[in-house]
This record gives sequence, structure tokens and C-alpha cells, in this order.
Amino acid sequence: MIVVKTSDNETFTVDREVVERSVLIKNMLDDIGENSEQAIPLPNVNSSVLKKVLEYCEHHRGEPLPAADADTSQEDTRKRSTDISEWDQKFITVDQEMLFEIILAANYLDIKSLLDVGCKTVANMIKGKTPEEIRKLFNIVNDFTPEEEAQIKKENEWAEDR
Amino acid sequence: MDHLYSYADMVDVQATPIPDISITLRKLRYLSMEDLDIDRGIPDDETLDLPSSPYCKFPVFHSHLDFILPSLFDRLPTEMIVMVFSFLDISQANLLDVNDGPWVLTQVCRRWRDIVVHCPLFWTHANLDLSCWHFTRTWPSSADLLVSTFLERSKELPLNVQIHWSDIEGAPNHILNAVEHILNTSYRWKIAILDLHFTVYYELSSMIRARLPQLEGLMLMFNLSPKTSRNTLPTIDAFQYAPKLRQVSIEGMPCATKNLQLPWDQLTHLNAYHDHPNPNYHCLRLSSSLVECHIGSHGDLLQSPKGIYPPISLPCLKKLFVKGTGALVLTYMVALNIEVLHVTDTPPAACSEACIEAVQYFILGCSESLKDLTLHSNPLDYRVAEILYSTRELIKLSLHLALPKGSSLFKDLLKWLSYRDVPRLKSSNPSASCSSGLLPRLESLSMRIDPCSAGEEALDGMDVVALAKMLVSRWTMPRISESHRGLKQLESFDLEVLGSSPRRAEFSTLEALNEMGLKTRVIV
Repeated sequence: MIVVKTSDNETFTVDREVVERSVLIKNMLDDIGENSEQAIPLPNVNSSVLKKVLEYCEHHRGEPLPAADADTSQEDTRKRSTDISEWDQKFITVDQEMLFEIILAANYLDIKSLLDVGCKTVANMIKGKTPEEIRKLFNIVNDFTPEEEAQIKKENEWAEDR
Repeated sequence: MDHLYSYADMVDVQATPIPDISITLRKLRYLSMEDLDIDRGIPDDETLDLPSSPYCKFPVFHSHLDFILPSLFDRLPTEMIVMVFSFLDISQANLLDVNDGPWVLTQVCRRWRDIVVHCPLFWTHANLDLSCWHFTRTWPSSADLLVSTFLERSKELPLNVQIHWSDIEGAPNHILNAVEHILNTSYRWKIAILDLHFTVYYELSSMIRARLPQLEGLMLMFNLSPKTSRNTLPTIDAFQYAPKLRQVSIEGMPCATKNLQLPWDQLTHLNAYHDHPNPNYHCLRLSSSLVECHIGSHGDLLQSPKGIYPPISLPCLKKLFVKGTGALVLTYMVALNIEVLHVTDTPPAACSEACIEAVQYFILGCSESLKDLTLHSNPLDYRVAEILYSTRELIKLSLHLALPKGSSLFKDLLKWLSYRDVPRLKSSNPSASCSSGLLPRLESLSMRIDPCSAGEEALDGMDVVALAKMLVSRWTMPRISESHRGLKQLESFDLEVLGSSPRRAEFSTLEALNEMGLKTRVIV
């Protein structure tokens, strides 16, 4: 069993097989050796997020890990499916705050499959929406400079009917 | 298709840093309301550096709420936003539609625009779809400017290009210029899908000839009018120099290969559909390196004016998918190493007989290598059984059968397919156990039964009990009978009965085989 410690000083005792879905933790364990009883500090992840991450790791325990460069060698965006399995979909049905925290944690802990699920979910939220709808959904401020506004307006005019 | 560019490589990191403002906002999300100086309209000293920031003049600071509720996107580093965007399928977006594809992302906020504009990966699918403009007669006012801006943002990356422009009448100059802009990038094309008015193909040569060094895949759709006299058409030679070209798809080729020059001998994948099988023959004759091939046609094979066609040898061919009367070409093909053969959409009656005969002849030459066979017999022909006799290495079999009314062929087929209980054989070698049953290595069987041509009465000849017996024999015999030990056990069975059948419930009883362990799926 491995002990990990979150940013809010909570500790979790987890099966090595589960926690090793995180490449970061796996590498740390490889470095410090089998017998260390020290808790692994995770200063960038709080306890509520880690709980979710461990739930994901537990569910996917034993599945083969993706190759390190599996996705970076993707040919293009066309081949990148946004399909998410049923369980993953339920798992990732959380509020926006938690969704983005999970993405950040997955990135930090280097859990590629979870990072993909998070990014796909956000991508699915963006799909088919107008810029205004996207801004509203994610509370994004329209911060274009007048020059940029003018350029966008111009591009829109090019596409308009005569 | 190899390589490709990692998203990290695609992002020009220097050009798309995380804006300082995002960093500041990330700090601010941990501040309480008391920490904010409401009167001054700016937060505490955490933001005192803002006026010196180049971003401070931007209208982001319209209200205090902007500080209190920053977007969650501000927390994501640039490369992760790129990753999110990479999951948006923008490959089919029309380049001329600014409400689609990468254009939309550039209209959300400064940071998104910076990221998308400076990441050329988002601008590599140049899909110029001019087909809809014909129907609406509403053209964009400056298609050429949109195209040039799009291409400029793709930097020098390889492009996946689509041009759909089958109706060229009435196109204004800026449309012509837009097409020309894309054609001028042919030296960057990696995949090209061209769906053009056939006369345009003859104009291409001067623009793209010998300028296709990166092209790996090409799809050509010729939109020949039925009245066009194909014999008088000139040669299309625009694509003959493409050293990396391996995959070609052709629809409606203008009369045989003499009208279209391609580097045929270097192709590994070919997909060709024509109105009659002769162009298929000529394509295959020239493409000796094919590994995978899809051919199809709907007309009869025309007689060669020079007599019988000579045979074609395709030693590398592993997978062949044949549609319609495309099967007639099989008579002339020799592919000794083929593993997958799918013959579908065989036309009915006399033509079907000729197709089945061609398939039978072809399979005789590759019976040792064939592992996966899909066969369409319309109507069910006695040659199907003969074909199955010769394919001893088959692992997967799909039969699409149109049952003739009053025929006992289906019953016979089931009998042939059953593992028979025969006295113990001296040899356990499966090749020596022919008397025990056909297809000794078969693991997956699917049947698609179409009674349409003969009416529902045709299903009367379909004995469900005999079908179940056959399946049970293939499932149990290898386990219980010494003489069947060397034979494979059937793992799965799929049955689909087309049309509405009153015997629906009867067919569904086959699903009980699942309890025995045989994966069975019935669709009626």
C-alpha cells in the first residue's frame, strides 16, 4: 500500500497498482524504492479532487497504460474521437470547477487517459456553439482590442453574401 | 501515413504564452471579496503591476465581476487548451464558413484567438466546399481573402485538402482565385479529395503537375455528364508525379486508365468504383503493389476488342473488397496471399451466377491463405457450397443469401456446414478430417438472409431447427468427439433476417444458444 498526501494535508492509503496509473507517482516510487513508508506529497492536488482521481484509477485498474507518445504522434485532429465510455461519462459528470480541477490534476499526475476524458468533455461542451454561447458557458470575457474586433468583423464580412 | 506533429510541436510557444493576465487572475481566485478594493475598482497589490502589462489597456477590466469570476479556462496552460481544441473535429468544416471550424475559436477571446491563429495545426484541413453555393446562389463576398488568410495560418504544414466544385457555372472571380490559391499549395498536399467538374481536371496539369511531393492519399470524383463521349476525352496527367502517393480512390473514371495517368505501380491501396468493370481491370493490371483494394461496378464486363484479357498477378494483395459486378474481374486475378475477401451487392439472376463463378475461380487460387470471406449469393447458388469446400483455412465467414422459393439449397448448406459424427479418424490433422465437416478452422459465422426477391414464402425453406443443430454440432463436437479434436469450435453466430417475418419468435429462439456458451445474436 502507498500513502499519498494532498495539498490540504489529507493522507490516502492506496493500492500500488491503483496509484501507479499516475506516471508521476510511479516514477517517484521507482526512485524512492519499494520499502519507503514516507507519504508521497502531492502539493498540487487537494483531497476532494484526489478522491475523484483515485475513483477513476480504481475503476481502470489493470487496464494497459497508453504508450508515452501515443497521442502526440496523432496524425491530425480528424482521428481524435470524442467518444467517452459510459462509465467515464458518468464519472466526469461534475460541475465545471471540478472538471477543470480533474484536468489539471490528471496533467500534473500524468494520467493520460483521464486527461483525455477531461479534455474531450470540455471539447464536447464547446462543439456546435457560437462564440457568444461559449463565452457565456465558460464565463469568458470578450477582451478583444478594437483592432482585433475590426479584423474579426472583416473576416465575417468576407464570408457574408454580397 | 506516418509521423505527425505533436501538439506541443505545433504550438508556437513563443507566440502563444499564457497571458500575464491569466496568471494574475489565477492568483486572484483565491482572494476574498475583502481583499478587493471595490472603490478603486482593482484588487490589492497583487495587481499593481497590471498597468505596466500590455494587457492592461484591454477591455477585460470592465467590471469587478471579471476579477471575482475569472473563467476556469484561465487556469489551463496553453498546451492543455490546445489539447481541448484538438478534440474538436474541425476536419470537415467548410473553410468559407466563419461560424464553423477554427474560425469560431478565434472569435471567443484574445487568448483563444492567439492560440488558434498561431497553432498551424488548426488550419491544415482546407475544405473548400463550393457545392452549397450553387443551390443558394449566395456566394461569400471575398472567398479568396478567406482562403488566403486560412492558408497563411497553416504556415508550411502539410495540408489535407478538399475541393468540392462540380458546378462551375457562374462562379465569380474571387471564387476562381480562391480555388487557385489552394491549387498553388499542391506542393504541401498530403491528402487531397477533389470533387470537381470534369473539365477542371484538364486545367489542373499546368498548375500542379510535378508539384505533389508530399501527396500520400488522393480521392478523385469525376462528375462526367452521361452524354460525354469518353473516348474523346484528353488525358489527365496532373497526378502522375507524386512519389509518396500510395492510396487512391476513384469514382467515375473517364474510360479506362489511358485517360488518367497515375503512378499506378507504387499504389498500395486502391478504391475504384466505375459504371462497368473494365476500368477496374485496367487499374488492377497497372497496380501490381496493391495490399488492399476496393473495387465495384454495376454494369457488365465489356469484351476486350483485343480478345480475352490476360491474367493479373497481385502478389502483395491481402484484402479485397468487391461490390456489384466488380466481381467479374476476379476471373482474371491471381492473388495467392489474400487473407480477406468480401464480395457484396452481387446483382441478381444471370449476372449473379457469373459473379459467383468468378469468385469460385478466384478462390481456388488462394484457398490456402483466405481467412475471412464474405459472400453474397443472389439467389443462393449451389456453387456457394463448392466455394466453402475449397476454403479450408477460413476463420470468419459471412453469408448474405437471397433464398429462392421452394429451394432446398439452404437445407443442404446447413448439412454441409455441420460437423458430422464419423468413425474415429486415424489422423488428427484437420486437413485430413474433411469427412467430419467443412471449414475446420471456422470461429465466426454470420448469415444475412434476404427473402425479398422471392417473398416471405422463401423463408419456409429456412429450417431453424436444422440451423440450430448445425450450430450445436460446430460448438460441441470439437470438445466431445475424438475425431473432431483437431477442428475449431465455433465461437460466435450472427443471424439477420431482412424484412418483416411472421417467424420472428422462432428465429429468436436461437438466442438460447448463448446459454450454452456460443455467442449468438439474432436480428429479425
